[in-house]
Amino acid sequence: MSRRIGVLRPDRPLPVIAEAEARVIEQELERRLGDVTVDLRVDGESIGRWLPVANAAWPTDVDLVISTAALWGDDVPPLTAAFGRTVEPAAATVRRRMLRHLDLMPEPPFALDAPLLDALVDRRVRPTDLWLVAEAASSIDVDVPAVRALVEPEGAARIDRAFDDAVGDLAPPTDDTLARLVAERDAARSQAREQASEVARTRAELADRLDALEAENDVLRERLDRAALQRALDE
Amino acid sequence: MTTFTRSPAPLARIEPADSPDVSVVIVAYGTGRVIVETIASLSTAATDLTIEVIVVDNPHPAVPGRSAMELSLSTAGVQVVAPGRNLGFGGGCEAGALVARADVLAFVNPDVLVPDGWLEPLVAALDTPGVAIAVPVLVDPDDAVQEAGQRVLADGATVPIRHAPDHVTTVDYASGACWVVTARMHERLGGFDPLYHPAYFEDVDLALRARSMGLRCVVEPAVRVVHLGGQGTPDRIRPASAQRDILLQRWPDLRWRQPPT
Repeated sequence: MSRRIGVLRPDRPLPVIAEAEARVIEQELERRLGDVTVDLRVDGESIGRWLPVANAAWPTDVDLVISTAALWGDDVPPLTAAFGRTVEPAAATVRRRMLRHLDLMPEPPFALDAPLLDALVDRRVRPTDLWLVAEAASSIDVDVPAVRALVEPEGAARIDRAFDDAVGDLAPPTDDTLARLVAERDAARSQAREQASEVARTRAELADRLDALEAENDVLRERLDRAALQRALDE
Repeated sequence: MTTFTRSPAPLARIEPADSPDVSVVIVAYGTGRVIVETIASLSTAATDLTIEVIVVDNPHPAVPGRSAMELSLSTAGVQVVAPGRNLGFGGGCEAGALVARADVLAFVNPDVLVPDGWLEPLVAALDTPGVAIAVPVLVDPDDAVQEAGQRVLADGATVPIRHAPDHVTTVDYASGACWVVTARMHERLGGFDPLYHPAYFEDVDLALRARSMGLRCVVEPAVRVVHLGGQGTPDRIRPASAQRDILLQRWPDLRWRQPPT
């Protein structure tokens, strides 16, 4: 049965995040609860022309309302990051299409590609793929042991573990990475400073040289003028 | 069906690796001799990283089994996946990625020749936060720049950037002829979309999807890879207007993009 869940979030940091967040929340809830739709409201917005959302009742078919206000704050990572392990919904849609294209979705007429299915199940663990296959298999009777195993509690636990393991890959950069990037930035700044001072030094040297040449030019011109004058007097 | 090539007198040999660093995935479609040259360059290019090479041999109706025959005669240690039907470029890449064991995937066309040290800078580029896809500069055999990434225009057309940058640079997208991505990232992005079957614009779509998630496709100018171009298949390159239409349907906001100045 489809569940409808209301989610109320504060109006910061950006409304555009609300949309992405809604998709992620919906995907995460669907992964755990089955068929779910999310009714997302942002605190501060209005329903219709005059009615602030805070004063509006939720529709009667909303089963549960969640407020995410406590999940926002300067010291709290964004909710989307908290759900970083969740598959990006757009990616899941594409992935579902590709699994179907590769004959890996357990759907009629069940012409599953056995070698690729073995690779999917036994090689590198791909939580998104496994979850999508298990999700498709859960609603129908599939007589393929490898697929059936994904629907069993042990298989489901394996997929959950795979999602948990994947968190590290999607987490913010590690201290090592940050340290390396900071070092690279500092080195680049230092190099830029050295180059800038080198340029300034060269510029100053050129200016001095130009001044000296101009002075020498003046002296020579004066000598030339005197010589020309002397020559005229002699004649 | 998956097999390993075992030519008794190979022109190119991929040394087996228990735990390869990089899985190179090549999609063939009636590809001829050039694929052996590609694998020879992969096997001889100096690198500290261990690789495995997976060729997905999409059967071409005019020359079925041609690539597999070339590979079995002239290579050893190459894993050949024979899907039995044409999965297209994206589907072939995904079939190869499924059997790949490494944490990093390199999708390489069967008419690409890689130089010494090609992998390390590309893999290193993926360490930078926000970078999803790293690509080299594609050059002609005479080293003229073929593309250093591409721009995507408002009408969905793609325009190659002909000047190689002097540092790692973000681009709209880059041809899937040679690109490197971590397996986790590829899964996170969702991989290639079969809507573009059999080929073209699936790489544009994937790069745009990465960008919609706040991630980037970058060109690493330290790596220049020869792309022979047009030799990967006996078919002529077609305009792929149907695929471009799909791209515009999927990414309607492209229409709001300004033409390049």
